[in-house]
Amino acid sequence: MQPSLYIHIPFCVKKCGYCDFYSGVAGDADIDRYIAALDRELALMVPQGLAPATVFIGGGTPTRLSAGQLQQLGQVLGRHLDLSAGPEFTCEINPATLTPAKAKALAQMGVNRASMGVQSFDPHFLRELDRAHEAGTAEAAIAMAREAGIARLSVDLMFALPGQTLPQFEADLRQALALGTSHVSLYALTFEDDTTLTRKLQLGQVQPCPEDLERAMFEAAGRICGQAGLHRYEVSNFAVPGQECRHNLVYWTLGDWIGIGAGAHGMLDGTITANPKDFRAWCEALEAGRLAAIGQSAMRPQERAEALLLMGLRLVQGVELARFRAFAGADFTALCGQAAGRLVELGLLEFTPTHVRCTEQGLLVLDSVVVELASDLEVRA
Amino acid sequence: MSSNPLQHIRNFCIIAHIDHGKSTLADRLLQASSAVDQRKLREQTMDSMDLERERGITIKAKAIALPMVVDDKEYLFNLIDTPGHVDFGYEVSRAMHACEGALALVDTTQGIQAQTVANMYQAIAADLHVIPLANKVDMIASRLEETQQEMEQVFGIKPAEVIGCSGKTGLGVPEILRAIVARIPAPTGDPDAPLKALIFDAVYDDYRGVVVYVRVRDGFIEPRQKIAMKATGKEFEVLEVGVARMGFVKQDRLGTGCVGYVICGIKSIQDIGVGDTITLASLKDQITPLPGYKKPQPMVYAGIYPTQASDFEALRKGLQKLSLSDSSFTYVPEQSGALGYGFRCGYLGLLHMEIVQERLERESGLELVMTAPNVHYEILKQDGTQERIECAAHLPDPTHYKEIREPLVRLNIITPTGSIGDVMKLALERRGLYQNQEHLGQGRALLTFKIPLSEIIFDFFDRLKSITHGYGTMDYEVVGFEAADLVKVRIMVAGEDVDALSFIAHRQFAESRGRKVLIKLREEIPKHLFVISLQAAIGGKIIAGEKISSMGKNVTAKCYGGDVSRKKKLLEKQKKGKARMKMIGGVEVPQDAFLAILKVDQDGE
Repeated sequence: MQPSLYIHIPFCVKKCGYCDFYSGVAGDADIDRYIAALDRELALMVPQGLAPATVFIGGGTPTRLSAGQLQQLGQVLGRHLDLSAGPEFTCEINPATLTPAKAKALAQMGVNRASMGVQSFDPHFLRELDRAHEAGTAEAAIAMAREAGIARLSVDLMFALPGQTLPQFEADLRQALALGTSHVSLYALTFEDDTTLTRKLQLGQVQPCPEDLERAMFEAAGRICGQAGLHRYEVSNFAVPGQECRHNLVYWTLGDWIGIGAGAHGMLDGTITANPKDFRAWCEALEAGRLAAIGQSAMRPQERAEALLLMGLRLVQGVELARFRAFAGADFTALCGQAAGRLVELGLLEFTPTHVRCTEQGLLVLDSVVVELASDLEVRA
Repeated sequence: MSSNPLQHIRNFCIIAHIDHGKSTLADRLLQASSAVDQRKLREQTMDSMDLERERGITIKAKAIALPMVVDDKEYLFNLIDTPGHVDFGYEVSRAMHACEGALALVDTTQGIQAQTVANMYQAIAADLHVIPLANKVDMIASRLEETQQEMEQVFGIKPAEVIGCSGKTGLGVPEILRAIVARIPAPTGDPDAPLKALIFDAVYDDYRGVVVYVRVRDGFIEPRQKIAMKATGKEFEVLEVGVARMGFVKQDRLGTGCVGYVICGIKSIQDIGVGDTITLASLKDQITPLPGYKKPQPMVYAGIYPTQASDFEALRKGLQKLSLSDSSFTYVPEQSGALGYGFRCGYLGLLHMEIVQERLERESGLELVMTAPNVHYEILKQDGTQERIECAAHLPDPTHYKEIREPLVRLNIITPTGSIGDVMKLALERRGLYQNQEHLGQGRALLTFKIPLSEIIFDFFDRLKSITHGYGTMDYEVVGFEAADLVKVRIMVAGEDVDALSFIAHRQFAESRGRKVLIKLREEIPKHLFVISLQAAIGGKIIAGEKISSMGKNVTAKCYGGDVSRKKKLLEKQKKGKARMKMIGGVEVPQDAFLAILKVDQDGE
């Protein structure tokens, strides 16, 4: 299978209080320069006429680009890629920044899946999150995307927000499902270092969601989505069968993908590539005719095993044992059978003939499950 | 200076509570010394401070020789330093035995404090002539008369004997110098008798080895003499003698009555004992030692274990190095079921323990687990023999002994009279026996209790400070051992006995204390993937139980996209945290949990 392609657009209208992804506010001239540099990086990184398995444009805010800039980006992609097979092509959309012209430009580019960053429908929480849109904006943006012919829709919601109650969260989720989305991503609010929100937390201005409530929301999500025909297929992701995000599945199974753009990461046969989180440095390197990648690290066998479990156990189907053997170079049971045995006894992990996976209980404490397994790997290494 | 006739020598120390102005007064005496050029004094003082900062060590003279002219006559004053804290009571008493007199300094803005009382008693016991000084009389808050009254009431010092002074302005210094000459007797001794010198302090120096401070009682000490230590029996050749003034000043000899330092190539401070007598090696069997020598006796014990078993040897080296410069600290290897191989260390007191532990962590750079401190106990076995128990885990089954005895202290507390009731309550809650109360005036009182040492080593001082709004001070001295109804409380985590957490308590308090330790453990041990049971037991009988429920949720529900390295970093962080914990019965126990017993708030017992 051909590698997938990820394109990072590190620009935003304004930086949200919870966000620590690589992004910033920039002017139109910077964006033009950025698109030209994307062109150069694609030329260096991508075999001419590559037919990527999937494409994903993320950010930042890709829809921060003007309709004209999106068209330009579409032309750039068209020069380097063969999209004739109509691969899954997702673009992250901030509802407040979408216009009918932008939606049309995206559709022309080949985008067939819109990942709508709604986060919440509740005006109070939107304000708390510094999200620059109002209630009602999301519905309008979804209509625009559909109008332009983007067929698949996914809605991003956040939960475990400071002060959020279980009924408030359930209302948000029901409203998202009522829009007829076939895919929902539910992300628990995380307090990341160096964000406005974390500073507020340190000052005591916001209270984190209690663990019990977060757990209740996590469990309610499975129930409510299930009633609407969407099943949990990853810790944070729900889909109507067949509508799972294939691009993200490449990440979770540590397939191959090429990362393009400042701050983008890629993975080719177990080697991680990382671009600098500095769009000027990245542009300058490409303008000088060379790649800006700062890191290329081939994972050691132990790291490969660890990374595969770290990503793969997030999937409800778990990690395919054959894939583990091929990727890590050894049998799963040989590497971490002891820890796995303890976890099975605790009812957190289970084996199928082909896979190892978390139970429902195990998924709730996945990070600890992975630490247990990884520590076992360490002892043996 | 051996040329000084004895009648011109005055040996004395300054006793004072912390912050009552001891070092400022010492600086004033330094300035008054005829041998010191004022400009040089300032420069040299500063130089030595810079050096301290640079090398990160403390170069501190334990005795300083001050040539002094008083009423046109020349004298040699030897000012001997005494450690300020009660933990070092024995060292203080030895330093006092090197003196004939003491300046008792009381801050008139604060009045007599508990430590003043303890130090005064020691000075009186050492037969010192005391010159009472009322300090800080230049300050508005000064209450000279009340301080004089207190001194009369507590020590029987007549107000007329008290000299008002100010270390800050130099007020009263000439009177103090005259009083030192007039009231403190010159040393006595036989210059023609064989050498007898008291070791009153010793400092380890990286370059010179051990610097021994002595007071020559009889005879003299000089380079190339073969000397012997009475108690340890070790022999050395004297390399250098001298006095400390501004830095070390070499002398040809230290004569009878003199105070100074001796360097004789001693590599470890363990080879000498404070309070021991130095004699000539050739006569060491004939000479009777000076009275009062004791081997330093630790009062508080705690375990130190490496987090990683492989660090055991590195820890041993660290302890060895520390013991070169600290003779009163002991360590012996021990094995704990829960913590593996480590050391049981003995300290003079809690402050001493904190100092040593801090130094050890800083200098060795090791990750260490410290267990809660305990006192030592004596058990009287069925066969009539006695045994010393330094660790709760070592206490045998009650059927193996007739009685168990614990150390008792006399505790002096000075408190505002308004807090007497609360102080009484606190002391009685801790099994204290009220003995005496004295009103000091200025709305303050001196309370005396007899109380088990074990009851005051945890958070007693903090509690005292809190109930007296910061005004209470305390001091204690060990007075003996007494039998008590004590039991060993075992603590179990996930069904496994954690010997490092077991403790000895009075039967009456065993259950409530056990329960509180469990509650504290419940807070300290993080949730696991399974339920953890915590139990306290006396013998086979469970007296308290708690549970730590299993982890409810621990999953990052966040989209890191294709950023695998970021997720890997999070995993590394969690793995590192796990590695720092001690594994007990499959439970990861953080280091702090071993101090749970220390943090038990004993309110309401």
